[in-house]
Amino acid sequence: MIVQLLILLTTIAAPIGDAAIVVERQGFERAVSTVMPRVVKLYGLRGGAEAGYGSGIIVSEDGLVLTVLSLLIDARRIRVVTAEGLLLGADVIHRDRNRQLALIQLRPIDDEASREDRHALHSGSQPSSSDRLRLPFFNIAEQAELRPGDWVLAVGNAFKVAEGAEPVSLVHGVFSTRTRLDARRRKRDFRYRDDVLVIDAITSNPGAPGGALVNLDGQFLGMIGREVISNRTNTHFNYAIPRDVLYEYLLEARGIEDRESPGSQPTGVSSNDENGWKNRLSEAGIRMSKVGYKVVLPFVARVRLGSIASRAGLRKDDLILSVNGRNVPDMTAFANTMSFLAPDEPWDLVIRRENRIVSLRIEHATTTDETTPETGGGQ
Amino acid sequence: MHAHPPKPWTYRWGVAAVCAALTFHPQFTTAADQAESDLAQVVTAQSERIESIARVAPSAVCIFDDTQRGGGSGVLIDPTGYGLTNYHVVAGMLETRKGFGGLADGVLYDLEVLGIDITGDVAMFRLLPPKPDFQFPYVSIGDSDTVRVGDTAIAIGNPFSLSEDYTPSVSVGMVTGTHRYQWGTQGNLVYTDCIQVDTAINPGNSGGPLFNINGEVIGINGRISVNTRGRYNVGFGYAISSNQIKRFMPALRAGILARHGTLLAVTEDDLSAGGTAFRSGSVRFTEVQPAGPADRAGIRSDDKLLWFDGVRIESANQVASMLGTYPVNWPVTLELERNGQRRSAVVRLEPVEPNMRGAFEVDRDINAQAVRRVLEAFQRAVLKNVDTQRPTRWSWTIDRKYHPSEDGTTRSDERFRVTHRDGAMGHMQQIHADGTKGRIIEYDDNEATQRIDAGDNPFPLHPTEGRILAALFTVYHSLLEPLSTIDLSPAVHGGGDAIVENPQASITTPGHETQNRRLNPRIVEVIHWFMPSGAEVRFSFDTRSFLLVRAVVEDKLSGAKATIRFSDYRDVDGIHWPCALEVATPTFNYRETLTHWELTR
Amino acid sequence: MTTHLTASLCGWLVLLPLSVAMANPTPESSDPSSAQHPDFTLLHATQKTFRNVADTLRPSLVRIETVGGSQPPEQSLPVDDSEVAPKKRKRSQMPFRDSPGLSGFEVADGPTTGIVYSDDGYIITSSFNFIREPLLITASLYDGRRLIAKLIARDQVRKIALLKVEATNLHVPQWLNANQLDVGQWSIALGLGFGGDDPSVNVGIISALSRMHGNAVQTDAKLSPANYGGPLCDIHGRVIGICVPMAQRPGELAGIELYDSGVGFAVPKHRIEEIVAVLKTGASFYRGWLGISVDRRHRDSLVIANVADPSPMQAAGVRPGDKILTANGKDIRHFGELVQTLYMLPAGTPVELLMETDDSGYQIEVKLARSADLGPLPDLEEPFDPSQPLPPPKNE
Repeated sequence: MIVQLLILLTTIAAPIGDAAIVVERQGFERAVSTVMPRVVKLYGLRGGAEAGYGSGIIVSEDGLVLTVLSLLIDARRIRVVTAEGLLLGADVIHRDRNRQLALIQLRPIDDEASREDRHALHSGSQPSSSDRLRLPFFNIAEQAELRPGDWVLAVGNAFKVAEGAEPVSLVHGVFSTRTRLDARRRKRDFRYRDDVLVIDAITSNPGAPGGALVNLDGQFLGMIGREVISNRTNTHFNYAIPRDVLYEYLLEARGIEDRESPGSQPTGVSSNDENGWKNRLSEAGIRMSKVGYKVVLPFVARVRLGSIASRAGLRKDDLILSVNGRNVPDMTAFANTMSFLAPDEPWDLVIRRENRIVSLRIEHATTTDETTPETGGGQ
Repeated sequence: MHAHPPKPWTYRWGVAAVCAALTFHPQFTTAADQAESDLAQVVTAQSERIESIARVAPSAVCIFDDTQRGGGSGVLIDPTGYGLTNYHVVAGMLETRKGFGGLADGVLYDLEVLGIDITGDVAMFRLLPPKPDFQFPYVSIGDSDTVRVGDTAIAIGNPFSLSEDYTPSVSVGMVTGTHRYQWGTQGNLVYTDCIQVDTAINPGNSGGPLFNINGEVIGINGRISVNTRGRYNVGFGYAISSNQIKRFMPALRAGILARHGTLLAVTEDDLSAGGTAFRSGSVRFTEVQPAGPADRAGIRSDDKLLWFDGVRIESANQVASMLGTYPVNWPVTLELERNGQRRSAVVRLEPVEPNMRGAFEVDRDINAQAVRRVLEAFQRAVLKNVDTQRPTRWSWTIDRKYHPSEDGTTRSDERFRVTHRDGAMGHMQQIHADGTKGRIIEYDDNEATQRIDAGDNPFPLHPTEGRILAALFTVYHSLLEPLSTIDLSPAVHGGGDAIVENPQASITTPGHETQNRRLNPRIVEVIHWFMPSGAEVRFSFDTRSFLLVRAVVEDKLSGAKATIRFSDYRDVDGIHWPCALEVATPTFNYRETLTHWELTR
Repeated sequence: MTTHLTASLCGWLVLLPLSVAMANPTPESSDPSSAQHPDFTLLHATQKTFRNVADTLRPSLVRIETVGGSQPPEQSLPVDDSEVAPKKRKRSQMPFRDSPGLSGFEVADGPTTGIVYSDDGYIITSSFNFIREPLLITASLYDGRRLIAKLIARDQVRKIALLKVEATNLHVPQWLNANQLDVGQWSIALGLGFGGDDPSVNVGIISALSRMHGNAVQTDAKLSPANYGGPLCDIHGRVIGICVPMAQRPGELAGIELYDSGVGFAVPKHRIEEIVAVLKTGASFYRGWLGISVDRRHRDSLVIANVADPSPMQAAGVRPGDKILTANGKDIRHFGELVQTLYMLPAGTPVELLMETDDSGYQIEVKLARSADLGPLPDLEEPFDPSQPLPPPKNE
């Protein structure tokens, strides 16, 4: 009993250890100091001149770097300057046109070439050739919690303000939301159409794409994406490619020699199926209206009796408002959206019928147990 | 062990202890309690920020040209209406030097442009008080060397001329880079060693203040990076650092076109230094212009530059960036290495000519006003009560100790009894060690004579000695006269300067390596005084305390040159006065200690 | 015994970690150089607060989608004077020095945001969302209900629109009064413009309390089509105002060029209440026009070149050559100042003008008109819109 009493007293009186709660006063410093060493400045060089600049993130100790698939990846020589100011070369391991990502491997360059490049770039010191590269890196397999409103830092060499060992730039803001990317670049639709993290901070600046997005604790969240205009808002879009997408890509791309691959096709990242969808539409029993004055609206002109569409509840004169979550304000948008869907993807339609809004789902013959034979080639 | 039934009290103890712990343990507070505590913390911090902003926002100025068309922003830094802005905000007002400044009180005040710094894009203005003794709201200038990435940065100004009633717009962000370099246009508007922020800064914010969370000005906003969208904030704003501006402020107040300084030498990254260079790059001089300041300081090509004004140098970019923050003639301290040998050198910078059309004439009235301001402040600092404290008769004892000259010769110590009286010449009588009297020197601000005995004929003093005494006479008489009676025509405000203590001492003392802190020597305001004899004295007043710290005497005609340093300020019968003088000339140096004061009013 | 020992041991074992945590944490002595930025725990607390704001407001947010419609005729926005060579300058370009522009902005067709105004089904949003004059408007509520919405009326000047849905069980948010606002307080914009179910969050502070002639609160939160029409809230989840595009000139697209710039506007409660009171009756606010064009040869005074017939100025007896000296008491020296004074006044608002002719002065009160009510201006294809610059002067 006495022993127990003593234990009670000592435990209550125990002073706090270092491992316990410590009031931190560093604000964003922890995040900044974590991310800076893991972001590199990229330059493309052609001849003696710089041809493109950007950022990249180090994902392995020996110098694998993930970045966006920008023009500099195609430059004659790619040069990389680390946070410490080391000037290195890089070989392209993999390009993914659908995801608009690239994987490069850092390597030392010989003194002669280094000297020339350092003049061109005003930067860089040479690592000793005997040292193996041992770089700080992001473990992008590690998940991090993220909710809208969370502080984030976007770090990259925007406007190439930083040279040599100077720290790259950063902007801070909050994580805004996660959504599908629907954007364009110079009037052509941007190929990456999967999830992105929308950021409440301007990341859409030259040189920033390829840079890192981290949270307050310095945990890796994603990579700043290429400059695009959102099709939904017609504004410059600030976003990052999420960590999970990057991780998937990294797993695929590692170990593969420099070649293009279509990349796997997670939902949303699909190749354009120009006309197969029209066949599928008619298979399902749907004929769309061609009538319209200035703009053709996606009205249903006819639904074949007994067809899949009919059984799903679609009716003549229904106005299709959205397909699989994508608004289709006119036939062009409808066609565009349909063409990007996978052959066996079901259609979740939201339609207007008279004064009501109705949701319905059309599953295709191939995904049901029905024995309706397939007609016509899909893909 | 023993098969007892459980003893009730042990149980009760255990349960009681657990209950007690549960009641007080933080982990067992509910999620709602945590949310409440979070919110309370956020509300408190928000209130502090609101209060901070409310305190400083009234000092933000909406600047308009003389046709009342909008342009930019500014900030007031003292209650008499002095303020800072960008040069490019007032560039269109240089013909008349007049404009308008609107404050949050809704009033539009008359504005006059004082000095400009075209290279560095800074200008000073003054709002005219609508009536005497009017006090403007103002803010203090902070130390930009303490700024770090992550610090809160608040910008206040008039973006897009949105303000209809002169209330400024406020934006909050953070410092995202320090010591940044932003190229200028045709040599002007170069932002070196500047502060980068992601605070929203848009056209119209130019010239406005950047505050830290304590409400001190750490920079003046002036540039942004823009992308293809157009001239809008994209998270990259740049502010000229407050410490750079401080060096230029005396000149700007004086209405001068403040020039930046150059070493007239080129540095480059030393690429031959290979190895695992981890941030410790090496920089060397590659070109040293003959007869330029670096050359005259003995710097040669291939000399390595290790430290610059207390900062360890790692790249040539860094040198260029730091250099861009200094005015002409500023003494910069360099630590050099040649063939393994280290040495220090203090080098005064030569001027950088800004790219401008036409000349910028100094407005005489503005300059005179600046002289008056310094002398008024000096008098307040020494006389405490300007009206009653000024003595009409001063008397004191000097102990003069000569330092050995370079050739090894030395002069013996001397003692003097000095008397200054209104309307009479200054009187110095030597007192020998045995108490007997010796030579007599009489002087004023024009001439000085000496006699061995009272009955002797006086003969002129050596010109250098004479000019020194003339300068001191001026201090006791002209500089302390009531300003309403004083003739300020011999005085011109010449801008600022820095006094580097101990210039010969090496700055790489043990332990300094870890400090790596920028030297910020004492900044002084220099008043040029043209003496009747034709000599010129440059009086230097500390820009914060306004105490007289130095007087440099120069007489090109006679070749006289001397530097007098004033120190050891003490309370002397109600007056704050320097009781030690250090005098240096090309041929002799001595130290004077002043004691046994007798003052009559 | 074993049971008793185990029981008490359990008690102590529970107690041990608890007591360790109970002792007061010893704060590290603060490094003075890091005292400048908010501390880490504060940042964590702040972001949790932002999350809570989004959660609090979500039930009141409405996702608005439109079907059909086309681009408005007014497509090109003012372009910064300095960027365009004088010869290439088009009539629709404006030489305002401090309002750079985005040329050729097209309104996109993504979803937009609104909030529940009252529990009888009124929804407030930005008229920006209906520039395309859509054929159909749907409103999706937080619980998944998607309803057809009727556009009741619009305020072209303050860019507000009122919708109505047939629904009950609506969540009306709390609003703040003007006297509860402070410069420097957190302001959080919520939007559904990305189409998802969860609102996007954009954070800033209140930059100024009264802009645009008292019609807007200014914020440095990033406002854009992603959140136009949605609420700007404080950290307690109360509405400060409705986010709208705005600039110092009227026009459907005026202000969009400021998207994401850190300069944004929200119409506050007292103004919304005034506006909604009118919109509810079905009446819209339209841009106000005078019906004049200005003679650009005069640099320091505003001399009228032409008067539309019919127009309020014509009815008031104004003739070409007359000068406007003051408008609503403010000195007018050039057309920019006229725009500055009138841009936030809708059609129907009376304006007091002090005029001057060659031999005398006179004072008139005219009511700004709708463009539809103006006749043609001679020598110009369109009636004078004070927001648009004048045609280049004919060669002297």
